[in-house]
Amino acid sequence: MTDTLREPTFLILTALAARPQHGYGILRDVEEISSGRVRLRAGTLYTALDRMSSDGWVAIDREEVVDGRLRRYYRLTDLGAARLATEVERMRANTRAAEQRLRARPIGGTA
Amino acid sequence: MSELERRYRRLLALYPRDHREQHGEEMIDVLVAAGGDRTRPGWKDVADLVWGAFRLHLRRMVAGGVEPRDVLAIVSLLGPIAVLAGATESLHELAWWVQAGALGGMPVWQQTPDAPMWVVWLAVAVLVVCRQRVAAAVGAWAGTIGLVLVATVSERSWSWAYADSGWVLLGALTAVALTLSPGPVRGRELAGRAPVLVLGAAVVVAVAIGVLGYRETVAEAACLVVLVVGAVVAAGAGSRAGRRAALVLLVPVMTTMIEALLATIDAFRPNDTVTALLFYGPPLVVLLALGGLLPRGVARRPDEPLT
Repeated sequence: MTDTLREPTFLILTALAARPQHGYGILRDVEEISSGRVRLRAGTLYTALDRMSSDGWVAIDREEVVDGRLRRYYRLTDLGAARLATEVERMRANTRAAEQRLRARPIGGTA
Repeated sequence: MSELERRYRRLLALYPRDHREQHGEEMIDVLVAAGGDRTRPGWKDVADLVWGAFRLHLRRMVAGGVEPRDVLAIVSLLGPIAVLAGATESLHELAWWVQAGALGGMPVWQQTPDAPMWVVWLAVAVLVVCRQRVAAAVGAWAGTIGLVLVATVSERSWSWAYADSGWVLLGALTAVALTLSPGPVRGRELAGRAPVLVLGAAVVVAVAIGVLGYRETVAEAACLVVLVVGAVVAAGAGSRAGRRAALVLLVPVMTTMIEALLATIDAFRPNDTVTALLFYGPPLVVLLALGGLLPRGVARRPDEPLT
């Protein structure tokens, strides 16, 4: 059985799903995806990237030097994409179940 | 370099070296970009970076990326030296008889039955330093089997199951390392600076403390500390293989702690077999669990050298 992804991990994988991104881009995208609710910091991001790279979920896509600083882009690997898809399916199943239960709930509820 | 960047760099110094080399500059880029007009890191950033550094250090301590043959190569170099710390008790006995001026009347077989084995191990250590690996391996096996036999047939029968278990186990692991690993020459390439000298000095100091402060709690604790520091520095605290090799070298420290722990349990008198299991089992489990003998974690793909 696959463990549930923690939210920062889920959001980082989501941020990388459409295109490779550099560290700062991931931080901003995670904030946007979560509607400002989740604001990752660099320490958390790079600890997560370290683990995800060990698991083979992300990989370095390319490196650039911008204004004399190194900018490294990360991409989602096929393994990472499959893991994200599994998590999405799990969440979708939970959401469906919740919707069905809510629809079955008597109007007004019980006291 | 701005003041903000300088402060962030100080915080990044907390991270594992390989992580700093791989990600340090891009982390600085991200931190400075996210820092805006600030002149010093906010407390949340500081806490986040310190926590991240702690987690990465922990991950490197207990997880993957280590070639077991490299670990054993370091053990093959340093194991014979570390084993010599086991001679402390015999040397204490010898010192007592010398001090009493009665060395000639000392009943060697009763007081220091294992003395010949420590001489064998000293020879093994010399052979390793002189790069005579095959002879050293033969000596290590002889020294290990000898420790068990001597303990079994002498008045300290079954001491190999508890008091001497750490030395027997370390001796056996050293013999395995000398037999199967790439050997002490490779170990010297992988270990810390001047490994033989560092560990040799630590063993001499630990033995001296042990002899002078025999059965005194503070002295015994000091011995353990000296051995731990010596093993970690000599094996190479900066490398994963070095840290795991240090773990193997510290098996006698583990068994000493088990002995101290069991001594606190009143009326606990297990039979010899259970005793042997209690002293040999946990160190082997620790070595296996923490990757001292086998690799752990997911192997990194060569095209993804992220950390």
